[in-house]
Amino acid sequence: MIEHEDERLAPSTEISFRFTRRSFLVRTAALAAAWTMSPWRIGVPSASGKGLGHRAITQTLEAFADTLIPGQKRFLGDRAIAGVVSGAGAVQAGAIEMMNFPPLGFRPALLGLALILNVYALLYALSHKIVLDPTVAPFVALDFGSRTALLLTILDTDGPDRSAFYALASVSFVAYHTAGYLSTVDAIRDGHPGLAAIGFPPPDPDGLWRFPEFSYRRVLAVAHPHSHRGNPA
Amino acid sequence: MTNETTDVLIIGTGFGGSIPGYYLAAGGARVIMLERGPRLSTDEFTQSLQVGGFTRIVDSISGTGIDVTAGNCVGGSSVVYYAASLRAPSFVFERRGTLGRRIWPASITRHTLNKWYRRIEEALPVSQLSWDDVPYAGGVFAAACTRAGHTCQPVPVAVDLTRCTNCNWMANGCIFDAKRSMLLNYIPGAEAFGAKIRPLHEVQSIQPAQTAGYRYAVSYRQLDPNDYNKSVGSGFIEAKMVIVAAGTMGTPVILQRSAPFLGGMPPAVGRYFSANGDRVTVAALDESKVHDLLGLERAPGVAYDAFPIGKPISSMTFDYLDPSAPEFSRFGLQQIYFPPITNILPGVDEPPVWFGIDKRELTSRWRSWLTVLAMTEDANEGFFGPPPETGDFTRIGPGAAAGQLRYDISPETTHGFDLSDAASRSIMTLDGLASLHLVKSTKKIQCAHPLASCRIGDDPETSALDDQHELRGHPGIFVTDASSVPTSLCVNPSLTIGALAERASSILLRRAAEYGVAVKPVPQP
Repeated sequence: MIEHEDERLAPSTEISFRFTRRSFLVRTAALAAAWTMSPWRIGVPSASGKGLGHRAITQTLEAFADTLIPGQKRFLGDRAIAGVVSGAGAVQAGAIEMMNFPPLGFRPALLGLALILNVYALLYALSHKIVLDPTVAPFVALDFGSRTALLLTILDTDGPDRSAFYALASVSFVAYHTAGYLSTVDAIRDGHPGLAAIGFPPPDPDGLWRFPEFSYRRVLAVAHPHSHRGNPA
Repeated sequence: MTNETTDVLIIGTGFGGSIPGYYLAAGGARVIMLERGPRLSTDEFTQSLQVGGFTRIVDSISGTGIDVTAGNCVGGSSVVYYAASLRAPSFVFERRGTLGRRIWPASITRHTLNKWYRRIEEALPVSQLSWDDVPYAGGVFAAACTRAGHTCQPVPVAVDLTRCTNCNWMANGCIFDAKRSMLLNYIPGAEAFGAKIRPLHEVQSIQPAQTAGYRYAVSYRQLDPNDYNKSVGSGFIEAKMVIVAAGTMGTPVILQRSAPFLGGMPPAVGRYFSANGDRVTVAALDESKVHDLLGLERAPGVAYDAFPIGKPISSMTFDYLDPSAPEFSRFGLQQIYFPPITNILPGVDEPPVWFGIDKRELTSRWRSWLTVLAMTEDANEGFFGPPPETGDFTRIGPGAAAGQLRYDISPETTHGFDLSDAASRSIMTLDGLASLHLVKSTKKIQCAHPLASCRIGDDPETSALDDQHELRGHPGIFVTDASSVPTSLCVNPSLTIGALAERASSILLRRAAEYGVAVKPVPQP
């Protein structure tokens, strides 16, 4: 029995052929099988993960985070980071650490999300006649423009995967904008690049925030004529 | 087995639970208060954005079409609120909504509620800010209003100004005991009169009591302090009166789950939810224009550059609160701060609108941001689906949950948003003062002021409670929290929630004898 044949997974004109749930599952299963036999090897990524198996998944997640908040390449030949800007991006700010941060409980989803993302990347490449470098994961093999276009189809539509990838995106933003896997005092002391980039202020020497200078101390407007003690009439 | 008994069982310890808890305990009733969240002392609050810290006491609850932020600790949302303490404008109480008839009970007007507003203002207490107390962001907003031809004034706040350090960490709980939460007034007052507060007790349902002389039995699960999804015990408490104050996101869920035990619920339980018409926009200021157009400079060569400094809410214009204007066109417009965990939300003009290179550039100017909150008149279009098996929602991570609330935005609410966006734009972008950025990462409504999911009113079809906050058809069950507020308020709702709870407390004291609870008159805390 064919179920949900008419449910579109990614209703976008960017991807020229039709996704269905069944075709998606078939492709995912095929890719997962291929993955286990390929040089990429499946492994759950972690901040301290080592080895080729971890690297493909980690690179996929890094490339995802870098597409959201770009940064400069970390080293010559850095494939995950596209390097379209100067300065640190989500990856340098700890996106992978945040994804793996135990209290978040997100880690079990990472492998699946990376796999799905690479399925989408493969399909995107096919539909756009892009030849992928087989030595890296399909999403990593895409250039920054293609990564962006693909994430637009996933994140800015109402497809069924949207909420999961939006959660993954949120984690990347939390890493960059809050250093959420660290205490904020420690993060600022250690020069967390995201907090530095947005200009999050440092605490006092005792580790607490206080702003004794906080006001222009000027009358800057007149009150509404019908207000009373700061309340509307 | 003998069940534990009490005179009054209160579910929740925010404004809606703590205020009646104080009065009934002070009146001599035996009071037990069950709180879903943990109890944190002042020195346990943190100034940190680390996940696992502040997420112990505040939840972001994802529904369909809406995300809601709500407190989860002893003291409820009063612990994490921004303490803006405003009386709602008079016209709010006369609202007719899409029903075409008055929504609030006939017995409640701004005039009749003023007495209770005064009580809560004195009890918290509320401070009047002078311009010397208004932080830079509020000053810029006020100056921008003036330049655009508008009035603007400092916002009254429930803050001890002598203790406030303007650190802008209110959402984490105040480590300086400057913010006047329930932890500093009604709760210690209630405990001084013997009220028992039990944190990490998540109420599941209300059922008929087994013990003679008691009307209801409240079932609860005790939660693991390190994992709110784990239960470490359970029990029942029987009570003569039950006060449900689990918050707008909790109260209707508990009542819905109780329906089979209690022979049904009024149809308005879990319907007519209001998001208080919350609408956020981000203004990214041009620092040179702040200097040149507004004439502001906070240090040599520095005009503003101060988004993270100060009290989170400090100035507001009432110019769009014209009582003669049509309903759904009126709104309060206020300067507000949000911590950078919300930085995913605002967008830029060109795709990809909320991520990528241009968005990164926008956030690099974060210190020059100024967030504007409009509180509009929404159409109470939210409703709750069937309750989850346990709890008020499904926890999916620290401080993150998936709830049953659905909010399909109405044309009326959209109209109010369009008008408030235009107002924000006209004030903040005049002559290039700032660029204005709407929330674009999600199409969901962002709500920090959930209301009305179990509201008071005179019409049994559209209000679950009568004007005395009693649940229709269930004598002895009262609802006194934000869920009882019938409509959006055009201002921050905490003072109105507190005033209604004060008013309800006087009713509870007067009527307790009907339910076999002897109480005496009580002074203010």
